[in-house]
Amino acid sequence: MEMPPPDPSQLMQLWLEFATKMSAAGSTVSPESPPSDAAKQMRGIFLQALGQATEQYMRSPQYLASVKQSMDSSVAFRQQLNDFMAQIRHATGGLARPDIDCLLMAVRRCETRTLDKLDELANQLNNLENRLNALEGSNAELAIAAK
Amino acid sequence: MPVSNGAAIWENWLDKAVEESATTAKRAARLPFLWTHAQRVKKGCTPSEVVYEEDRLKLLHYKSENTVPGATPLVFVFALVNRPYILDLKEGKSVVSHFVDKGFDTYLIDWGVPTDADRQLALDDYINGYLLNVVNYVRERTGADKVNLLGYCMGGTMSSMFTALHPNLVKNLVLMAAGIDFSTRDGLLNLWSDANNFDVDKFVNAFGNCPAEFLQSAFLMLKPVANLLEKPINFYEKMGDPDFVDDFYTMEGWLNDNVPVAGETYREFVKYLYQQNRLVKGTMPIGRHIVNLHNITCPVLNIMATKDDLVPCGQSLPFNDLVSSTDRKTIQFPAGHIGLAVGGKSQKELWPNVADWLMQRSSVPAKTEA
Repeated sequence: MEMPPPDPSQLMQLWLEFATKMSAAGSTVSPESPPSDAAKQMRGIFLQALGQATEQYMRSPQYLASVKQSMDSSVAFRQQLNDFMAQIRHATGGLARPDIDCLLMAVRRCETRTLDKLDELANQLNNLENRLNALEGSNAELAIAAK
Repeated sequence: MPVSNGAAIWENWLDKAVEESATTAKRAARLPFLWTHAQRVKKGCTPSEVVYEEDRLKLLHYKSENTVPGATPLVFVFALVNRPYILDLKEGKSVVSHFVDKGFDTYLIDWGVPTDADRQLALDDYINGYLLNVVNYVRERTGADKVNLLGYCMGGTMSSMFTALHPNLVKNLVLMAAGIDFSTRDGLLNLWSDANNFDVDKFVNAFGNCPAEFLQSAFLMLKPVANLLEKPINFYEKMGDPDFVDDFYTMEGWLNDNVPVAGETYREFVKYLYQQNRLVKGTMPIGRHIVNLHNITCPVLNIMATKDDLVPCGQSLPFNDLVSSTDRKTIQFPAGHIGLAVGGKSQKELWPNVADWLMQRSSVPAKTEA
C-alpha cells in the first residue's frame, strides 16, 4: 500500500510556527502577516549581542595584556628608529631631534626662572603698595586727630 | 485554510523581495552622486570672523546684529583632540547658534593643529597661556570684567582648571561632558589608560605628539561593532535619502578630522588625570600652581550625557560637590557624547534651556522679543 505524499501546506505551517517561536523574543512576528522589518529586528538583536560580547572581551585581562604588548613593541620600534635617525644625522653633521629637545628644555627652564622672578617682584610690589596704603591711612588719621 | 494561507505568505515574501531589489537598484543609481555630495559638505554654518591669533590658535567671533548690550560674553572651549566646529556643525545642529540667537557675544577657540615643534607645550601653556590670553583679549574687546566659559569634553576639564586658578575672570561656568573624576572604570578609555596597561612616558618620549591616528583608532575601538558594522549597513540602507547622506557625511567628516595632541599635554592629561586622578584630590599641578576646585565660586552648570561611552556620567558628576559655588545645577541628558551637541533632541530641548540659564546670570535681563 502506497503512503500518501506529505502535505506541503502542513510543512509550511510547521516551518512558520518554528520561525515564529525563534523570533518571538523582541519581535512581533505572526505567521499570517510577517512584518517587513523582522529581519532588521533580528539583525539589531544580533549586533547588540555582538557589541556587548566585544566590550566584555576588550575588558578582559587577556585583551589588555595583548594590547599592552603590541603597544610596547610599537613604542620600542619607534624609539629605535628615532635613535637610528639621530645617529645618521649626527654622523652627517646635522641636528637631530634630541638636540632640539634639549634646546627647547633649556628655553623652558629660562622661561620658568624668569617667570618665578617676575612673580617675586610682583609680590614685593604688592607688599610695598599695601604698606604705602597703610601709611597713607595712618597719616590721614593723624591729620584728622590733629584738627 | 492552510493552503491559501501558505500561498499568501509566499506571495507576500516575493513582493518584499521584488521591492528590496528595486530599492537596491535605486541605491546603486545614486552611487555617482554620493561622491559629488561629499565634496559639497561644509564645516560650520554660523557666520564668523577670526579676531585673535596666537601661534596655532585662532579665536572665532560669531557675527550677530542681535547682541544684547552689556551681556557677559561667552567663550566656547573645546577639546584638543578634535576640531571645534562640532559645536557649529550645520543648520539645525549648532550649539553656537542657540547662544548667538539668544543675544550673547559669542567666541570659539580653535586650538589649531600642533606640529612637532609644539610637542613641549604643556597644560600650563594652554590654560595659563593661550586660554588666559584669549579671556583677557575678550575682556578688553568687550569691556567686560569677566567672561562666561562653556567647556566641552577635555575643554571642560581645562575650563574648570582655569576657573579654579582665575576665579576673578569667570562669571559663569558651563561644563559639557567634562571629565573630572577619572577613578571610574565605566568607560573603556579609563581602563585602557590605566598605568598598568599604558606607559605614557615611553609613548610620549618615542612619539612626541600623540598621533591623530592613534586617538582616532582608540575612539573607533570604543564601539567597534557600531562603528565598523552597523554604521556601513545603516548607510547602505539609507543612502537613497539625501538628508541622511548629508548628515552622515557631515558627521563622519568631523569624526575623522582628528588632530594630534601636544606631547607634554598628552603626558600630563593621561598621567595626572586618567592614571593618578589628581584633580579631585586637589593635587593637580598646572605649571607652578596647584588646582583647587574649591576656589570656584561662580554659578556652574554641569551637563552630562547618560549614554556617553567616552566620558561616562560618573566622571562628571562629582564636580558640583567639589566647588564652593552656591548656584549649582546638574543636567543628565539622554544622549551620547556627540549627541549631546548635535542630537535632534538636545537641539530642541537642552540648548534653549541652557541659553536661558546662562542669560539669566549674565548681567542683563533676558532679551525681550520685539
